[in-house]
Amino acid sequence: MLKYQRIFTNIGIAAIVFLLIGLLGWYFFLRTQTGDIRDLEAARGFNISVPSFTGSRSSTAENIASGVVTESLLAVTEGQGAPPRLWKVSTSPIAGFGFIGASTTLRYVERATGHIYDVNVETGAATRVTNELIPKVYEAHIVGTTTVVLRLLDDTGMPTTLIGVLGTTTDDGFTRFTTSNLGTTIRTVAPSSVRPEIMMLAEGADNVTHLIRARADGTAPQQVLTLGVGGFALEWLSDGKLFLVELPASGIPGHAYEVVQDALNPILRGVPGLMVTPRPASGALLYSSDDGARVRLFVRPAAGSSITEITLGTIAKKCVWAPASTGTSTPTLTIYCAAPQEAVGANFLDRWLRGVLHTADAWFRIDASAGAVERFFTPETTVALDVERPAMDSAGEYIAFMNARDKSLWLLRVNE
Amino acid sequence: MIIRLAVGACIMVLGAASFVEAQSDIIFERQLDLTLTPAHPAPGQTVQLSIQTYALDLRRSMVVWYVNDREILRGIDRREASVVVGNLGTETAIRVIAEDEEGLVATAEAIIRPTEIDLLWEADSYVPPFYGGRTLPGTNSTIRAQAIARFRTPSGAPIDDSNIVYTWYRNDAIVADGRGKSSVTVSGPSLFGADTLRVVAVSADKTLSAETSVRIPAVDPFVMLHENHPLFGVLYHRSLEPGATTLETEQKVTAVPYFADIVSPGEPSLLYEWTVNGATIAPDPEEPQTLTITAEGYTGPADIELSLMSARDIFLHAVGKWQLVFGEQSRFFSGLNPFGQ
Repeated sequence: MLKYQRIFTNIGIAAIVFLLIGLLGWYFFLRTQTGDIRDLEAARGFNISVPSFTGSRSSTAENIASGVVTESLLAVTEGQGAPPRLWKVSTSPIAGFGFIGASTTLRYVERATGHIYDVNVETGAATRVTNELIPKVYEAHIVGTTTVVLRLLDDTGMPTTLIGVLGTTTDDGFTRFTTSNLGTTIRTVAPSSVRPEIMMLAEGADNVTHLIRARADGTAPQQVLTLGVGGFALEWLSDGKLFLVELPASGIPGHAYEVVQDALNPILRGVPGLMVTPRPASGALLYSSDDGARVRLFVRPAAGSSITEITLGTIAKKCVWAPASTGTSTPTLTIYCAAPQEAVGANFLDRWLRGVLHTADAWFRIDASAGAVERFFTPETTVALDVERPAMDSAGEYIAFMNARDKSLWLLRVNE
Repeated sequence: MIIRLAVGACIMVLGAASFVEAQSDIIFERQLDLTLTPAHPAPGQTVQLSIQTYALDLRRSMVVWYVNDREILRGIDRREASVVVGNLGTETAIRVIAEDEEGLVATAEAIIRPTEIDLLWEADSYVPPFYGGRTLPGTNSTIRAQAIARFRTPSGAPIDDSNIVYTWYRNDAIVADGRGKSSVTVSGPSLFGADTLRVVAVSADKTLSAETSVRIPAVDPFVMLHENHPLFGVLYHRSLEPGATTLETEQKVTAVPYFADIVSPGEPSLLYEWTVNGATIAPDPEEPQTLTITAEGYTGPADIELSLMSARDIFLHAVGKWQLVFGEQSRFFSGLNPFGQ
């Protein structure tokens, strides 16, 4: 009898232990899931403005919105006239933007949610296009009218690339958005501005990097060439020209090439801290150097012509070429550049790229043929704009850009 | 570079200097040295030509220079000349004749074939995701390098990489060579040092050659802090400036070890030692590079210190100090104050 009692006791104890282990496992499982859900819920509640956290204090993003911008820059209501000349299109950080073809539509991707918005730059009317939640999108490229390339971090913190395609049907007023994952080997992506295609630099085996051309949805990849290094910026112009520019560092010589079939034709060689902004449909070229001591800007108005230094201390990536003039027999070569209003000091490029230094820029118009510089817009002193990724619409009326301080999206109307 | 009888492939001496001793019937082959600077000219570049010899007294010799059989310079003691070379695939024939007062003659000839070669490089050290700058070598880094040579035949046809022999030098020691070996992976410079990486490319038929080198300095890895926002992720575009102020009650910051020899800042070989206001904070086992500071009911400074070491790389030791103020005035930006305050 005692023997059976001991057996039952042991079985009971074992059952209790197993039950406790099971409950403990369930607890940790639920805790993990709750954390994930909390992240998603937080992001899901994020619509246009950033929600505040608990307590009376506001979130950092709200501080950005309320602190940087005056009301006149934000207050645009549909049907109540055109936006102000300098308009903060998105108060929350974005991942990327682009003008849609020759239209007046500016498309951007919200960083926190991956939601896509279309903005009519003439009326200021903004429409949320998609409802798919893709949290924490670090980089986005608009490809044609239906595709968006999204770059984010996977669970291990490695950069991953998603290709998203807008559908033709809507669901609750939002366009369906389906994505496919290109994996973690993509280093750089450049969209074509005229064709539904992308160009990518992808890491291969044996320390090589492949330059790959593919359809906008990532299908039909074609290898263009293979290189032993992969640290390049890609520039794919509307005329089909493709440029590879070595990633810059202050004082470190860099090279720029045009890819012609499977060969690299040198454009610039051994320029320290090199950044290049080529002009489509011409041999004109704008580039900057940073030798560690100072930043210099140069222009080549045409292929084979002499190079002129522009008396503006800024980098080429803060500049955009105006589209070719129409209606005139002698189209002018115009560049719009944002330039710091204060001295930037040594090793500017390194400090700027690492987010150590941010500038407060004014806008300048440059006649590339004459090398003449004219300041044409200075923001209010309460607005500090560190311009990055400027882009111009096809009519040459608007410049859209991101503020590198907070990744907000801005629009500047060129003419008063 | 001094050219004697035969020179590097892009400059080919066709005939050695000759010395004719008129007083006897014996003909001596003597040397006229023709120097070209640069030794491997690029298209359109000006090449400085100079001669010297012990066979003649050039101070009393008539020197005549020819470029592509056209006389470009003549005169007593004219030891130097210059020529602008053509495009890739062109040949510029140089001939110089020197004759002294006694009728002794020496000549030298060369063919200049312009070439181009670039050396691109990057390190495999860590930079944050989507970083737009060059990856520089920190401690224990590896350098990936690519030579891009542009050789053309006189017909204008490009010479393929497979018909070019590359020899790679790291600080004058050969580290790799071979036909078509246009890229290499070599160990990077030691801490606080700098390496010179050099590549010499010679066409298989040895008619063309080019050479270039780069100096690659080592960078001491350093650590920077970035806000880790719950909605936006790590704000790599702005670093935490000293004395930054936040209005949040809880703040997550993530350390970014620039140019460290790692793949990910969360890898187990890295040892993060965090302290806040002097108190040691145990790192999060899953995300040791991220520190969360909760300041419920507290306003004031939080002095953050981070010491980063690696169990795999004994030279990696990055230290950083920051002050984050939990207060009423937000100034969580680096650089200028965007609020204009």
